[in-house]
Amino acid sequence: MANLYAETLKNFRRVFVSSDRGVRKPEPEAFAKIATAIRVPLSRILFFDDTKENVEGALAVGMQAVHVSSVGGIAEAIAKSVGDLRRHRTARSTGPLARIRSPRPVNVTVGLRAPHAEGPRRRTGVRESKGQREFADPRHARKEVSGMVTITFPDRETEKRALGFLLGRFSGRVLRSGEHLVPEAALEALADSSIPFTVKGKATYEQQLAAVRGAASAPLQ
Amino acid sequence: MSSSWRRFEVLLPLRFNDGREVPPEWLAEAVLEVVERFGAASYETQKVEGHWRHGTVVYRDDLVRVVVDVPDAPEHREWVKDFKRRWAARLEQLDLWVVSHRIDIE
Repeated sequence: MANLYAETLKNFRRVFVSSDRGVRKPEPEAFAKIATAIRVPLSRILFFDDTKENVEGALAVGMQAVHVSSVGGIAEAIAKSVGDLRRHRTARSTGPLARIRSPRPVNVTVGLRAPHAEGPRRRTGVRESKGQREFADPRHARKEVSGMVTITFPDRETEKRALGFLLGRFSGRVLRSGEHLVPEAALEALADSSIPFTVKGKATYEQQLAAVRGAASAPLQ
Repeated sequence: MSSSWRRFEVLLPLRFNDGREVPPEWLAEAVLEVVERFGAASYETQKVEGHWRHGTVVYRDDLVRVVVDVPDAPEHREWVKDFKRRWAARLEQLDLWVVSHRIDIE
Protein backbone atom coordinates (compact mmCIF):
# COMPACT_ATOMS: atom_id res chain seq x y z
CA MET A 1 0.00 0.00 0.00
CA ALA A 2 2.89 2.33 0.81
CA ASN A 3 4.12 2.15 -2.78
CA LEU A 4 0.69 2.51 -4.31
CA TYR A 5 -0.14 5.63 -2.33
CA ALA A 6 3.32 6.97 -1.61
CA GLU A 7 2.42 10.46 -2.69
CA THR A 8 -0.68 10.54 -0.53
CA LEU A 9 0.74 8.76 2.49
CA LYS A 10 3.75 11.04 2.78
CA ASN A 11 1.36 13.58 4.24
CA PHE A 12 0.52 11.32 7.13
CA ARG A 13 2.58 11.08 10.24
CA ARG A 14 1.61 7.49 10.97
CA VAL A 15 -0.04 4.75 8.98
CA PHE A 16 -1.73 1.76 10.60
CA VAL A 17 -2.35 -1.41 8.67
CA SER A 18 -4.84 -3.94 10.00
CA SER A 19 -2.63 -6.91 9.20
CA ASP A 20 0.08 -5.39 11.37
CA ARG A 21 -2.28 -4.57 14.20
CA GLY A 22 -3.98 -7.94 14.32
CA VAL A 23 -7.44 -6.43 14.40
CA ARG A 24 -9.70 -5.00 11.72
CA LYS A 25 -12.40 -2.43 11.51
CA PRO A 26 -15.13 -2.33 12.62
CA GLU A 27 -13.94 -4.27 15.66
CA PRO A 28 -13.85 -1.90 18.65
CA GLU A 29 -10.34 -3.05 19.46
CA ALA A 30 -9.13 -1.78 16.10
CA PHE A 31 -10.21 1.75 16.92
CA ALA A 32 -9.07 1.56 20.52
CA LYS A 33 -5.58 0.46 19.58
CA ILE A 34 -5.09 3.35 17.21
CA ALA A 35 -6.44 5.83 19.73
CA THR A 36 -3.98 4.55 22.26
CA ALA A 37 -1.12 4.56 19.78
CA ILE A 38 -1.62 8.19 18.81
CA ARG A 39 -2.58 9.17 22.37
CA VAL A 40 -5.77 10.84 21.33
CA PRO A 41 -9.07 9.94 23.01
CA LEU A 42 -11.53 8.19 20.75
CA SER A 43 -13.95 11.06 21.10
CA ARG A 44 -11.43 13.42 19.52
CA ILE A 45 -10.66 11.42 16.49
CA LEU A 46 -12.32 12.30 13.24
CA PHE A 47 -12.58 9.14 11.24
CA PHE A 48 -13.36 8.74 7.53
CA ASP A 49 -14.24 5.60 5.71
CA ASP A 50 -16.07 4.64 2.57
CA THR A 51 -17.62 1.59 4.27
CA LYS A 52 -20.76 2.27 6.22
CA GLU A 53 -20.13 -0.57 8.70
CA ASN A 54 -16.76 0.88 9.62
CA VAL A 55 -18.28 4.30 10.17
CA GLU A 56 -20.97 2.81 12.37
CA GLY A 57 -18.33 0.90 14.30
CA ALA A 58 -16.35 4.07 14.87
CA LEU A 59 -19.44 5.93 16.05
CA ALA A 60 -20.25 3.08 18.42
CA VAL A 61 -16.95 3.51 20.27
CA GLY A 62 -17.44 7.26 20.54
CA MET A 63 -15.40 8.49 17.62
CA GLN A 64 -16.53 11.19 15.29
CA ALA A 65 -16.98 9.50 11.98
CA VAL A 66 -17.92 10.50 8.48
CA HIS A 67 -18.96 8.27 5.61
CA VAL A 68 -17.18 9.51 2.49
CA SER A 69 -16.55 8.31 -1.01
CA SER A 70 -13.95 10.72 -2.37
CA VAL A 71 -10.99 12.76 -1.29
CA GLY A 72 -13.00 15.86 -1.99
CA GLY A 73 -15.63 14.59 0.38
CA ILE A 74 -13.03 14.27 3.11
CA ALA A 75 -11.89 17.84 2.65
CA GLU A 76 -15.46 19.06 2.74
CA ALA A 77 -16.28 17.01 5.82
CA ILE A 78 -13.19 18.27 7.64
CA ALA A 79 -14.15 21.85 6.89
CA LYS A 80 -17.64 21.20 8.14
CA SER A 81 -16.48 19.42 11.28
CA VAL A 82 -14.01 22.15 12.17
CA GLY A 83 -16.78 24.64 11.68
CA ASP A 84 -18.99 22.61 13.96
CA LEU A 85 -16.29 22.44 16.61
CA ARG A 86 -15.87 26.15 16.47
CA ARG A 87 -19.54 26.46 17.23
CA HIS A 88 -18.87 24.30 20.31
CA ARG A 89 -20.85 21.38 19.10
CA THR A 90 -19.77 17.80 18.91
CA ALA A 91 -18.93 17.25 15.29
CA ARG A 92 -20.60 14.11 14.06
CA SER A 93 -21.20 15.08 10.54
CA THR A 94 -22.75 12.82 8.03
CA GLY A 95 -21.41 15.10 5.36
CA PRO A 96 -21.77 14.74 1.64
CA LEU A 97 -20.87 11.33 0.39
CA ALA A 98 -18.04 10.70 -1.97
CA ARG A 99 -15.97 7.65 -2.76
CA ILE A 100 -12.26 7.04 -2.49
CA ARG A 101 -11.33 5.30 -5.70
CA SER A 102 -8.84 2.76 -4.55
CA PRO A 103 -8.61 -1.03 -4.38
CA ARG A 104 -8.92 -0.84 -0.62
CA PRO A 105 -10.41 1.85 1.55
CA VAL A 106 -7.96 4.41 2.79
CA ASN A 107 -8.92 5.97 6.07
CA VAL A 108 -7.87 9.35 7.21
CA THR A 109 -7.84 9.55 10.98
CA VAL A 110 -7.44 13.02 12.40
CA GLY A 111 -7.02 13.82 16.06
CA LEU A 112 -8.69 17.07 16.93
CA ARG A 113 -8.22 19.25 19.93
CA ALA A 114 -10.95 20.89 21.92
CA PRO A 115 -12.22 24.09 20.42
CA HIS A 116 -10.67 26.12 23.23
CA ALA A 117 -7.30 24.47 23.28
CA GLU A 118 -4.40 26.18 21.59
CA GLY A 119 -1.37 24.60 20.04
CA PRO A 120 0.54 23.91 16.88
CA ARG A 121 -1.12 22.04 14.06
CA ARG A 122 0.97 19.30 12.64
CA ARG A 123 1.82 19.29 9.00
CA THR A 124 -0.43 16.29 8.48
CA GLY A 125 -3.49 17.81 10.01
CA VAL A 126 -3.15 15.82 13.22
CA ARG A 127 -3.07 18.16 16.13
CA GLU A 128 -1.36 17.65 19.43
CA SER A 129 -3.75 16.63 22.14
CA LYS A 130 -2.01 18.37 25.01
CA GLY A 131 -4.45 20.25 27.12
CA GLN A 132 -7.23 18.08 25.81
CA ARG A 133 -8.97 18.03 29.14
CA GLU A 134 -9.09 21.76 29.50
CA PHE A 135 -12.40 23.20 28.50
CA ALA A 136 -13.94 26.56 28.98
CA ASP A 137 -17.38 25.28 28.18
CA PRO A 138 -18.71 23.13 31.05
CA ARG A 139 -20.96 21.24 28.69
CA HIS A 140 -17.90 19.97 26.88
CA ALA A 141 -16.07 19.40 30.13
CA ARG A 142 -18.75 17.06 31.43
CA LYS A 143 -18.99 15.22 28.18
CA GLU A 144 -15.31 14.94 27.39
CA VAL A 145 -13.56 14.69 30.72
CA SER A 146 -15.53 11.58 31.55
CA GLY A 147 -14.44 9.85 28.33
CA MET A 148 -16.16 6.68 29.47
CA VAL A 149 -17.34 3.95 27.18
CA THR A 150 -20.07 1.44 27.97
CA ILE A 151 -19.12 -2.17 27.38
CA THR A 152 -20.58 -5.58 28.16
CA PHE A 153 -19.14 -9.06 28.39
CA PRO A 154 -20.41 -12.26 26.83
CA ASP A 155 -20.98 -14.09 30.12
CA ARG A 156 -20.65 -13.81 33.86
CA GLU A 157 -17.30 -15.57 34.03
CA THR A 158 -15.79 -13.22 31.48
CA GLU A 159 -17.27 -10.28 33.32
CA LYS A 160 -15.66 -11.44 36.54
CA ARG A 161 -12.33 -11.96 34.82
CA ALA A 162 -12.51 -8.55 33.20
CA LEU A 163 -13.46 -6.77 36.38
CA GLY A 164 -10.66 -8.49 38.24
CA PHE A 165 -8.31 -7.23 35.56
CA LEU A 166 -9.67 -3.69 35.63
CA LEU A 167 -9.60 -3.27 39.41
CA GLY A 168 -6.42 -1.53 40.42
CA ARG A 169 -5.66 -0.54 36.85
CA PHE A 170 -8.51 1.73 35.85
CA SER A 171 -11.39 3.62 37.35
CA GLY A 172 -14.75 2.32 36.31
CA ARG A 173 -18.36 1.74 37.13
CA VAL A 174 -20.49 -1.35 37.10
CA LEU A 175 -24.23 -1.54 36.64
CA ARG A 176 -26.46 -4.44 37.58
CA SER A 177 -27.52 -4.63 33.94
CA GLY A 178 -24.07 -5.99 33.18
CA GLU A 179 -22.91 -2.75 31.63
CA HIS A 180 -19.47 -1.52 32.58
CA LEU A 181 -18.42 2.07 32.18
CA VAL A 182 -14.69 2.14 31.53
CA PRO A 183 -12.21 4.70 30.19
CA GLU A 184 -11.25 4.39 26.56
CA ALA A 185 -7.76 3.29 27.53
CA ALA A 186 -9.21 0.20 29.16
CA LEU A 187 -10.45 -1.09 25.82
CA GLU A 188 -7.03 -1.79 24.44
CA ALA A 189 -5.86 -3.21 27.74
CA LEU A 190 -8.76 -5.65 27.72
CA ALA A 191 -8.13 -6.52 24.10
CA ASP A 192 -4.45 -7.09 24.77
CA SER A 193 -5.42 -9.45 27.55
CA SER A 194 -7.71 -11.35 25.16
CA ILE A 195 -10.77 -10.51 27.22
CA PRO A 196 -13.73 -10.30 24.83
CA PHE A 197 -16.17 -7.42 25.18
CA THR A 198 -18.74 -5.51 23.22
CA VAL A 199 -18.76 -1.74 22.98
CA LYS A 200 -22.23 -0.29 23.42
CA GLY A 201 -21.20 3.29 22.90
CA LYS A 202 -20.23 6.30 24.91
CA ALA A 203 -21.40 6.28 28.49
CA THR A 204 -24.27 8.61 29.16
CA TYR A 205 -24.45 11.04 32.02
CA GLU A 206 -27.40 9.11 33.44
CA GLN A 207 -25.45 5.86 33.44
CA GLN A 208 -22.59 7.46 35.26
CA LEU A 209 -24.89 8.98 37.81
CA ALA A 210 -26.61 5.64 38.34
CA ALA A 211 -23.27 3.98 38.90
CA VAL A 212 -22.54 6.23 41.82
CA ARG A 213 -26.02 6.16 43.24
CA GLY A 214 -27.02 2.57 43.59
CA ALA A 215 -30.17 1.39 41.90
CA ALA A 216 -31.51 0.86 45.42
CA SER A 217 -31.57 4.61 45.54
CA ALA A 218 -34.68 6.66 45.25
CA PRO A 219 -35.27 8.20 41.86
CA LEU A 220 -33.96 11.67 41.28
CA GLN A 221 -36.25 14.35 42.57
CA MET B 1 -34.03 15.96 47.19
CA SER B 2 -33.76 14.12 50.47
CA SER B 3 -30.42 14.54 52.22
CA SER B 4 -30.64 11.16 53.95
CA TRP B 5 -28.06 9.51 51.78
CA ARG B 6 -25.02 7.56 52.79
CA ARG B 7 -21.78 6.90 50.99
CA PHE B 8 -20.10 3.57 51.61
CA GLU B 9 -16.43 3.19 50.80
CA VAL B 10 -14.80 -0.19 50.91
CA LEU B 11 -11.03 -0.60 50.69
CA LEU B 12 -10.27 -4.00 49.24
CA PRO B 13 -6.72 -5.27 49.66
CA LEU B 14 -4.91 -6.38 46.53
CA ARG B 15 -2.65 -8.65 48.57
CA PHE B 16 -2.99 -10.94 51.52
CA ASN B 17 -1.03 -10.02 54.60
CA ASP B 18 1.70 -12.49 53.69
CA GLY B 19 2.22 -10.73 50.35
CA ARG B 20 0.39 -13.16 48.08
CA GLU B 21 -1.76 -11.52 45.46
CA VAL B 22 -5.47 -11.75 46.05
CA PRO B 23 -6.99 -13.58 43.07
CA PRO B 24 -8.41 -10.83 40.87
CA GLU B 25 -11.62 -12.80 40.48
CA TRP B 26 -12.19 -12.56 44.23
CA LEU B 27 -11.99 -8.80 44.07
CA ALA B 28 -14.41 -8.86 41.17
CA GLU B 29 -16.77 -11.05 43.17
CA ALA B 30 -16.69 -8.57 46.04
CA VAL B 31 -17.52 -5.67 43.74
CA LEU B 32 -20.24 -7.63 41.98
CA GLU B 33 -21.80 -8.40 45.36
CA VAL B 34 -22.09 -4.69 45.99
CA VAL B 35 -23.54 -4.26 42.52
CA GLU B 36 -26.07 -7.03 43.12
CA ARG B 37 -27.15 -5.43 46.35
CA PHE B 38 -27.24 -1.79 45.34
CA GLY B 39 -27.54 -1.98 41.57
CA ALA B 40 -24.24 -0.28 40.82
CA ALA B 41 -20.81 0.56 42.15
CA SER B 42 -17.81 2.65 41.25
CA TYR B 43 -14.19 1.72 41.71
CA GLU B 44 -11.17 3.93 41.61
CA THR B 45 -8.08 3.34 39.61
CA GLN B 46 -5.40 4.35 42.02
CA LYS B 47 -4.08 1.90 44.48
CA VAL B 48 -4.55 3.27 47.96
CA GLU B 49 -1.52 2.46 50.01
CA GLY B 50 -2.14 2.01 53.70
CA HIS B 51 0.14 1.36 56.63
CA TRP B 52 -1.33 0.22 59.90
CA ARG B 53 -0.15 -1.31 63.12
CA HIS B 54 -1.55 -4.34 64.88
CA GLY B 55 0.27 -5.12 68.10
CA THR B 56 3.92 -4.68 67.28
CA VAL B 57 3.60 -5.44 63.59
CA VAL B 58 3.23 -2.72 60.95
CA TYR B 59 1.27 -3.87 57.92
CA ARG B 60 1.24 -2.28 54.50
CA ASP B 61 -1.70 -2.67 52.15
CA ASP B 62 -2.29 -1.92 48.50
CA LEU B 63 -5.97 -1.24 48.23
CA VAL B 64 -8.63 -0.44 45.71
CA ARG B 65 -11.52 1.77 46.68
CA VAL B 66 -15.11 0.84 45.91
CA VAL B 67 -17.77 3.49 46.36
CA VAL B 68 -21.54 3.53 46.28
CA ASP B 69 -24.11 6.10 47.41
CA VAL B 70 -27.42 4.81 48.67
CA PRO B 71 -30.34 6.03 50.74
CA ASP B 72 -29.43 5.96 54.40
CA ALA B 73 -31.43 2.93 55.52
CA PRO B 74 -30.69 0.57 58.44
CA GLU B 75 -30.97 -2.49 56.21
CA HIS B 76 -28.23 -1.16 53.95
CA ARG B 77 -25.91 -0.59 56.88
CA GLU B 78 -26.59 -4.07 58.20
CA TRP B 79 -25.85 -5.55 54.81
CA VAL B 80 -22.56 -3.68 54.60
CA LYS B 81 -21.55 -4.89 58.06
CA ASP B 82 -22.22 -8.46 56.98
CA PHE B 83 -20.30 -7.86 53.75
CA LYS B 84 -17.37 -6.59 55.76
CA ARG B 85 -17.41 -9.56 58.11
CA ARG B 86 -17.54 -12.12 55.31
CA TRP B 87 -14.91 -10.52 53.14
CA ALA B 88 -12.52 -9.78 56.00
CA ALA B 89 -12.53 -13.51 56.69
CA ARG B 90 -12.17 -14.53 53.07
CA LEU B 91 -9.36 -12.10 52.42
CA GLU B 92 -7.66 -13.22 55.63
CA GLN B 93 -7.71 -9.73 57.03
CA LEU B 94 -7.70 -8.78 60.68
CA ASP B 95 -9.96 -5.96 59.62
CA LEU B 96 -11.46 -4.74 56.37
CA TRP B 97 -11.65 -0.99 56.14
CA VAL B 98 -15.21 0.06 55.41
CA VAL B 99 -16.32 3.58 56.10
CA SER B 100 -19.57 5.38 55.56
CA HIS B 101 -20.79 8.88 56.03
CA ARG B 102 -23.91 10.88 55.49
CA ILE B 103 -23.85 12.91 52.32
CA ASP B 104 -25.88 15.76 50.96
CA ILE B 105 -26.72 15.59 47.30
CA GLU B 106 -27.23 18.99 45.78
